[in-house]
Formats: sequence, C-alpha cells, structure tokens
Amino acid sequence: MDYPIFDPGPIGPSTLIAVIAILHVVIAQFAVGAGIATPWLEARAHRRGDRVLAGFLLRYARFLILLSFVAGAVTGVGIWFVIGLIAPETTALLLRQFVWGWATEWVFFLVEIISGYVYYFYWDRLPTRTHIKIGWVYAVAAWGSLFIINGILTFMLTPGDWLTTGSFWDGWLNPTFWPSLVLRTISSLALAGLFVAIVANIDRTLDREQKRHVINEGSIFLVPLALMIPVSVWFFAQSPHQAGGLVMGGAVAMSLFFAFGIAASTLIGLYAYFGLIRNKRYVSLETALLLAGIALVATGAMEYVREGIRKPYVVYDYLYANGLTRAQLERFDREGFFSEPMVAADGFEPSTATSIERGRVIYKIQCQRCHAVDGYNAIRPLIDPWTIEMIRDNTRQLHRLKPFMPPFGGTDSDLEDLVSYLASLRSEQWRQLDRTGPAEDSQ
Amino acid sequence: MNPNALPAPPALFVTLLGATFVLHLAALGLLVAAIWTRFGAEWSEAGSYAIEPIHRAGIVGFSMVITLGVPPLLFVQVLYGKYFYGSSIGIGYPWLAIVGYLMIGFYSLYLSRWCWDRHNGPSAGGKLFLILTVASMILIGWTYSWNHLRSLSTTPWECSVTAVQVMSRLTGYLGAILTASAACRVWFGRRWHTAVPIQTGAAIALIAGGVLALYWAMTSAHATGSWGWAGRLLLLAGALVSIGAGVIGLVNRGILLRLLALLSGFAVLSGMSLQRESYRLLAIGIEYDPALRPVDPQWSPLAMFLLAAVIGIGVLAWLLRLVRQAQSQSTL
Repeated sequence: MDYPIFDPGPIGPSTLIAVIAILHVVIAQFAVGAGIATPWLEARAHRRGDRVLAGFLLRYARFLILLSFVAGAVTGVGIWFVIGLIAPETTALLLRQFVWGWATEWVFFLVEIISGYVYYFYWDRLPTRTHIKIGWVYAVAAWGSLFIINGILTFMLTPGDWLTTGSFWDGWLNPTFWPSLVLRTISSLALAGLFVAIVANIDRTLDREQKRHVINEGSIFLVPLALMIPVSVWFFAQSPHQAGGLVMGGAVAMSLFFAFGIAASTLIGLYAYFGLIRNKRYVSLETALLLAGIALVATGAMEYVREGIRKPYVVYDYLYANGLTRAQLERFDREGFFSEPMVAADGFEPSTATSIERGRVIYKIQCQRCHAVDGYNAIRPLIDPWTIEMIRDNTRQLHRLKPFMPPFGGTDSDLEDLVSYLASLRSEQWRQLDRTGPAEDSQ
Repeated sequence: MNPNALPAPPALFVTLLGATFVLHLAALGLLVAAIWTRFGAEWSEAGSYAIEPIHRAGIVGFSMVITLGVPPLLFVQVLYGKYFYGSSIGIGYPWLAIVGYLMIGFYSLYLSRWCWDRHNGPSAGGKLFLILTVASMILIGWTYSWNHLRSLSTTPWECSVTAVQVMSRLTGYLGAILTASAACRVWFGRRWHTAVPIQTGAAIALIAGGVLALYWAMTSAHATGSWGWAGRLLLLAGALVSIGAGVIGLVNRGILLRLLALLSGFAVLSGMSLQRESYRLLAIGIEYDPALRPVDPQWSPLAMFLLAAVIGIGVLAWLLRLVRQAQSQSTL
C-alpha cells in the first residue's frame, strides 16, 4: 500500500478510465486501419488511373492526421495519467514488466508520426511509387504499435506462464495474444472503412456518384467484421473459464454488451459485403454517422467486456481489481489489514483511530476503486436497506456471492471496522429501524 | 520472480530519462519558434511571411512535443513511480486537465491557420486562437512544474508548493526554451520569412535565453555531486555561448551564428536536464536511491528495443533524405 488513494468523486474511477480509454481505442485503431487502407487504396488508384479516389485519399489522410496524431496521442498519454491516479500499483507493475515493450512501441509510434507527416505534406512532391512506400512504412509502424500494446493488454487477462516464470516473453506472448490481435486488426480495418464513408460524404469536391465510388472502394475494409464470431470463440477458448462464464450469463450487463458488440459487428460486415460491394449501394452521411455510432458503441461494449471479464482481477490470478495482490489479502487474513505500512494522508494512525475511521480507510483501499459512496456504482444505495448482519454476511462472502468481486482481506476485527463504516453510511431511517445499530464508535 | 525489480540497471534508466527529456525540450523549442513567428505574421505585414512552412513546423512541432514527451514519462514512472504517482494523486483533477490543455493547444494552432486561409491573412480569430495555444502551453508548463516540484518531496501527496516556486522553475525552463527556439529560428528562419531577416529576433532571444540560463545556473541549488556539477558547468557554458551567439547574430548572420546557436541550445538543454536529475536524486535520496533497487535485467526485450530503435533511426534517415530531395526539387 505504497500510494495514497485518489477519490474522483461521484463520476467514479471506472467511468473516468472508460471515457478516455474508449476514445483512445477508437482513434488509435482508426489510425492503424486507415494506415493500412490509405496506401492500399492509393496503389489501387494508381494502377487504375483513378484520379477521384487518389484526390479523395489526400483529404482522408488530412483527416487521419488531424484526428489521430494529436487526439490519439494525447488520449494515449491520458490513459497513463488516469490509471496512474486510480490504479498506481497496477500501472507500476505493468511499466516495470513491460518497459522495453512500451519503449519499442514508442519507436513504432515515432516512425508512424513522422512517416505520416511526410506522406501527407509531400503528397504531390514525391514519385508515386515512393509515396506509396512511405504509406506502407506508416502502415507497418502503426500496426507494429498495435502488435506491441496488444500483448500488454492481453497479459492482464491471461498472464499465462508469467505467473511462475516472471518472463517478459511469457507475459507478452500470452494465450490470448493472437486472437486479440486478429480481433483488433479487424476492428481497425472496419473503422477505416466507416471513416471513408464519413469523409467522402463531407468532401464537397465530390458529386454523389463519385462519393458512391469512393465509399464502395473503402467498404472492402468492413467485410472482415463478419469474422467476429469465430474469432471471438477463439478468444474465449483461450481465456480463463470464469471469464467465459461471465459473458455467457454470469454477469447480465457483460453478456448483453458482448452480444451487442458481436451482433452489431457481424451485421455491419454482412451489410458491407451484400450492400456496398455486391450491390454498390450509396451510403448517405446520416447512415455513415449512424454506422460509425454503432461501431463506437460496439467498440465501447467490447472494451467494457474486455475489462469486465478480468474481474475480480486486474492481472488475472495475481492482482485484484482493488490493487491488492492475492498474497497481500492472504497476509491480511492472517495478520490483519493494518499489519502492512501504508501511505495515507491526514496522519491516520490505526491504533488510536475509531472503528468507523479504520473502516473508512479499509473501504478506501479495498472498495473505492469500483464503488463511490454516492454516484457511479455507489455503495450507499446498495446497502441502505441492509441490516448490520446483512452487511457483515455479504462482505464476508463477497467473492462467493458475486464471483466478479475480490474477497475481503482482513481479520474478523477488520471486518467489523468495515461493517461499522458501511453501516454509518446508511440513511437515518434505516439506522433507526436497525435495533442493534451500527457498531459503537469506539476503538 | 520479483515484480518490484527494475528490468535494467538504474543507470541506464537515469541516462534514458535525461536524454529523452532533452529531445522533448528540443521539440518544444521548435514549437515555440514556430508560434513566435506566427505571432509575427499575425501582427505585422502578411506578405513577408511564408505561412505554410511556419504552420507545418508548428503542427509537426506540437506532435513531436507530445510524442517525445512519452519516453521521459515512461522512464520517470519506472524509476520514481512512488513519488510521481504520489504527487499526481495529490494534485488530482488539475493534473488530468493537461489532456484537455494539449487538445485545446493543438487544435487552436490548427484553427489559427484555418482563419489565415479564410481571411487570406491576419485576422482577429487567428490572433485569438494563437493566444489560446500559448495559454494552454503555459498551463501545461505550470502543471508539469507543479507536479515535478511536489515529486521532489519524500511525501509528495501532502507536499505543498508555492506559486513563486513554480514560477521560478518555469523561468529556468523559459531560458532553455528561448535558447532552443532561437536556434530553431536561426536554422529554419530563411524558409519562414521572405523579406525581413528573421535572425534579429533570434539573436535577441539568444541573449535573453542565455541571461535566464545564466541566472538559473548561478542561483539554483541544483549543482550537487559530480553529475550536478557537470550539469552546472554545461549550463553555464551554454548560457555564455548563447549570449555570445546573440551578440554575433546582431551583426553577422552567417554559418557561425547557426553553429553557435545550435551548440548553445544543446548545451543549455543538456545542462538543465543533468541538473534536474541530479537534484531529484539529492532531494529524495534520504529515502530512496534507485541504485539500491533490486535489478532483474530483461536483456532480450532490451535488445528488441535497441533493434527497433536502430531500424527506426534508419527509416527516419531515409524519410529525411526523401524530404530533402523533394525540397531541393521544388526549389528548382
């Protein structure tokens, strides 16, 4: 317990992370997909002498730069900022284990940015073949950064042999590395295809027929979405059994999000093939935005599932979602929660604090990472009508009643402290009804 | 397995932290030079400025500041995680606000160019967006310095830092950035300005930056230990060269000015970075010494990074060669 606790207020830590993470994932994956789509389409336009498509690609590249080179990079750094505030021990663990992976990803990112600028700013000033080559340099660098970061993200769900060896390679090339890489590549290409439809529609230099031509050319990148179901099956076959159980009905919200993500992706993929490629349909701006909106929600839903199925862990079988390791919780059970020195502001001293004060500290460290007192996923409305016995029994059996919750770590005395604090959060009406009342506010 | 062990010798991380911080500041120098020149274009006659290359330098500079800011952020977390996170958590939301400031700064810069194109020259909107860019950069600098100063305490979560301390820190950086931006203006200025020689402003900036860096080197308590002294000497030398280059620049605008400006920029940024790291070690050394951390080296992942870096540098060199060829062809 080396770090103080950041209290983000009613918005809740998960919401804060989710907002920035989803935004970043969409922009970063678009950058990867567009990186592959642009030189591929440019080469195709060059081969066919297609000036309409070639002209469009310059404006598409400008959109890519404006969106991804700053918003993508800033939200990427933003994720570090947020997780550093909310889950510093997890961030520190990941950075120590994968610092060379991140450093390698940064090299890819640097090459991506510079080649992207050269590609855009020197559009008509370099021979076409050289220009296409630069586009492919960008594509390789962008996909390379996805390749690296994918291993770090999947490590959290399936750390694999790392748990025993501690090896970088065992952690990085973990069991879900390849299916996740395929899923993210498919998603990246699809975003590139969707943004072709949006940019073509806002491009005032194109007439309707030209727009339809460009959109049909870009729609090829949406087709791989139809593979989402088999690749997801592959992904879950490699995931821990409990994680698969959560999306198959173990947690209702997660099952619904997963079903939406998969269904939406597959349907967009089928529409792209039958509607756009075979029947050469036109997609209006409104429809393109609607499809992009669905893709955004589907991406958010899948990211929610990815984060959710790890629960109760943040690094599976090693680090719980509240930032405490399995070994720490076992030690708390034996030696007490306050046996470990902790960093805490306001000079808290467990031996002189009241039971409620100690409970508040236990709450901050073991619960607050997911539950604000009021606001998002709030604890107060959850326990308000509970009696003290219900609070005690639920807290003691937490991980058995709800498999996605970490177990409580501490002695019976620590449990009583937490129960006292939680009971004190209830409204006066419920406290009065509780004959036994909250534990005495004593040491 | 020791998950707390460092994946390479601490000296390597300290070196990488210092070196990449210099690159980050150098990119900041390019960005400041471009913004400063854009201000000139907005507030004086439009015709003498070549807006396209200035704008391009600003946009690329902003991206580079962000991209080159990632490695120091990575290495500082690996080496000084407890202090960095403790300080960030103590600040809370204002620390997160940097993400917003960066967005506002970049897109305002882009919109200032959009205004220029729309009005075919200076406009109130262009000026406003440029001011917004500068304001966001000041806020970013302020918040970073605030966090950095707090992280120099052994209890950063409850440490308080005064505005005067932050201001003083920023003044030191301003000296370094002025020198670096003047060097960028000297090197790229001929592409940015088609009539009045841009070097006059650069020469004045070299003198001002040198004086600020000199003041910083003379008065700061950062110079302790052999690395601290090395940093101080480098900073002093850089400051003196910067002042000298500025004086020369007022009368002579040849290759000597460009070389001296480059030298002073490099020396001031490196000296500042060395002092920064040596002072950090001194400030939290009572409680924490990275050299005493357990080390469990990851040699093969390190080799992967080095291989990627070598290939990356090769690719960047190829891209730069193409750019130079394209520029020389377009000049013809």
